[in-house]
Amino acid sequence: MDRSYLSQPEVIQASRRFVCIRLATYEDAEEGEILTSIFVGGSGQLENTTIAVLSSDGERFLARPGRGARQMFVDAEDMAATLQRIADETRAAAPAGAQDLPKIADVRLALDIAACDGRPLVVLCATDAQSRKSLEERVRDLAWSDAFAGLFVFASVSKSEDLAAIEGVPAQAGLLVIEPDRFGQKGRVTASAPADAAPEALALALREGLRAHVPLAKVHQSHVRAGRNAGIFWETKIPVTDPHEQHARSGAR
Amino acid sequence: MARSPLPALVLLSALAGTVAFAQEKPAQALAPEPGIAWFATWKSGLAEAARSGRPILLVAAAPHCGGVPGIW
Repeated sequence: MDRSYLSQPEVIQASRRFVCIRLATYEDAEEGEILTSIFVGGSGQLENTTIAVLSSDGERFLARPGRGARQMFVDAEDMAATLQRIADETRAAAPAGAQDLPKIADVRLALDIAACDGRPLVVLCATDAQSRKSLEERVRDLAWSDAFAGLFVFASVSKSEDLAAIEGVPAQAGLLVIEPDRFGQKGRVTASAPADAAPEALALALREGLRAHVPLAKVHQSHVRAGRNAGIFWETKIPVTDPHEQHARSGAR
Repeated sequence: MARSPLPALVLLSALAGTVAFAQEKPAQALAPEPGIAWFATWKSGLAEAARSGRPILLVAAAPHCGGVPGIW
């Protein structure tokens, strides 16, 4: 992913006028097919990265899709200006919240993505569906608020077994703020609130988790080398088809 | 007079060590940097786009490199 453009303030600002969707490549067969219908590179196969700007029904390209932001835009300023122009043309207003919590399908993937982003992971735990739905609704409003938008990765679980990789889970788990390890394989609870906590108490736990968060500076090559030395390997849900990634993975096992 | 390259090499080596160390240590804990607020599934994002009428910025990336997780 091209973090150099996507992490620039002007691009982040412009992104607020869009519904931003980030998919984990090779982690869902259906999404893999959608991505393949949007862009394939020279290999003719789904590659590691894709970027596209689409109409609100997902049917029309509003800019040429590509493998990365660098392929589509001159620089971050150009990307931000293009996004603002498209938003103006589509008369897209600033968002007033969203209907769903932006959660990732499972804790294993969410922990990995939190480590990739260098963000804390928030996991919502409730065994019964009604409590979980109620908790998700309270956290959803916080997740899209100006105070917290873009600062966390989210997941939701119904079974304590899903938290096997997490240290320090309290007996009355509801909202957990978790610090992922370098490789996103394990995590440690840094703040929590019960499932029936009021929004103010949930916000307090989120702020506490942000205060406890220590972002790790990572260097690509040394991270990969350290991971291989430690025998850490990520199994994808669907086969990797990017030729470069296939080659890189063949050296890992 | 020709100068020995040794002091410069020692300095470079020391700097390289410092940089290598700096790369592995935790970054300074400051206010969190702002970020894009992402939907994490196509279905949920598309539903929100349909509801709000906002266009979609779609990005996909593999959360691993060379088989090693924890890095895009």
